[in-house]
Amino acid sequence: MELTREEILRYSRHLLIPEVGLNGQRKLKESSVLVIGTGGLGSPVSLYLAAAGVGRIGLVDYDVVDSTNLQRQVVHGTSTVGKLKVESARARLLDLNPMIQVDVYNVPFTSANALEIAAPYDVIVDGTDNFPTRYLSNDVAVFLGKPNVYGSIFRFDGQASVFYAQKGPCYRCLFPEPPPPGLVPTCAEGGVLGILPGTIGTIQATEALKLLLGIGDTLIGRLLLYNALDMSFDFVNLRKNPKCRVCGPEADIKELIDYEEFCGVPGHDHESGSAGADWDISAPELAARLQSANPPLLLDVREPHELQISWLPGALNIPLGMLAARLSELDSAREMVVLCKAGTRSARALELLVSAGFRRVKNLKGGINAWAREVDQNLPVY
Amino acid sequence: MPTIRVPALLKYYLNGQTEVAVSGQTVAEVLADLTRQYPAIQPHVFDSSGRVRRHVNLFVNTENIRVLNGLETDVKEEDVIKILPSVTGG
Repeated sequence: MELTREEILRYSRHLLIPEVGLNGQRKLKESSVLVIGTGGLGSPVSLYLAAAGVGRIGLVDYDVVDSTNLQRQVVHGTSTVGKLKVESARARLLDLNPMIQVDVYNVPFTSANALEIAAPYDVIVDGTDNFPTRYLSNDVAVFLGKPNVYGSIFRFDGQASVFYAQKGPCYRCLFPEPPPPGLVPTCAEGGVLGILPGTIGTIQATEALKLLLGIGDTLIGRLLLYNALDMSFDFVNLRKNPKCRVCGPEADIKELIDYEEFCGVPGHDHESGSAGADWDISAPELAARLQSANPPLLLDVREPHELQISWLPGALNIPLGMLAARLSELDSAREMVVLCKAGTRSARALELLVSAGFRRVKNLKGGINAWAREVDQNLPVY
Repeated sequence: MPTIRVPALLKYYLNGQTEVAVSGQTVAEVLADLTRQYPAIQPHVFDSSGRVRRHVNLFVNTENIRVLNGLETDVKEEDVIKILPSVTGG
């Protein structure tokens, strides 16, 4: 496929690099990448691949742009808050480079549609925010024989690799099983440095470009461990796991499975904020109970620094991670309402308390954010 | 002494440290020393039956203990043992 005069001018700085040159730029024009997720990682990945002239970019996301996204999801903007993420991203990518094609899939990426969506693309980039979709992306890449450019982030730590079962290990070789539900916090619960996905996402974009051009040493067989606080880049070696259930010699997973069931969590990083109807108490109900003669004890399981944003007077603070070790501080005879930011961590705390014999416990549905919306509008929502 | 290194996700269970010195001559021994010094990290590395959780990888320097000698892998004074759980943020 020939480059037009406009393309030759636009990609001039690439054409000057011997490793890319005219032939490499033609390859990029003919190539295609599927970016799963248009969030923190998907933003820099899609922006840089579009700018670089990858001819066809597919975007999968079913969410809408929210103002809490904009601290890191730089493909979107204040003007697109409330709009579909894939449409917001497509407009930005085509503004950056109108000479490419952007396909959008405004659907959840599931076992029912994943193979069909991914089949036409050369490279898959995993920019998802949850375990079910990560395992799905991996298995799709293995079954279709495509490389899966992996990135993952939390607070100040990032990981990146290229999982390509034909040439090295896959994601399941490293992580055969997901963590038990709730043990590893998501970014919605634990936060993330806004710049971190920029660092890891641009590394993913770099790896995708190298794969398309066939140049350099990719991260196949290596896992990059980046820490922004130490400014350290560490590598560990990854090898194929002979017992891998999708790419090993005795693989027993031959088709896509139910990944939400496999992981025990939903395929998105949103908080339901509920522990189940029998265990929940709403913010207005709690407000009424706190005015009664026998108010319940409030147990706040957030991290101490979150109390500076919002707190309820009199609440006892024991962070969720420390709760198991500090149960002896609690009186199981006393009625107790557990709360956190949005109701997810407190729901987990409730499970732990109930399994330890506590019976008079409730979960503040929707967390202190629900309290701030429904009871005390002076408190901020975060 | 060998060093154990953890990502930020786990440092809250090690009094805010990402690296701690431990004693022991095998991976199992240094992990036992780690959980003796910092009991709060136990459930994040081991399941209730005492096995290393399946989403947690252990590396001695750059190699996964799966391709070495598992928990019986020898550990030398200057080795760094990395505990690496999966994370999923994106």
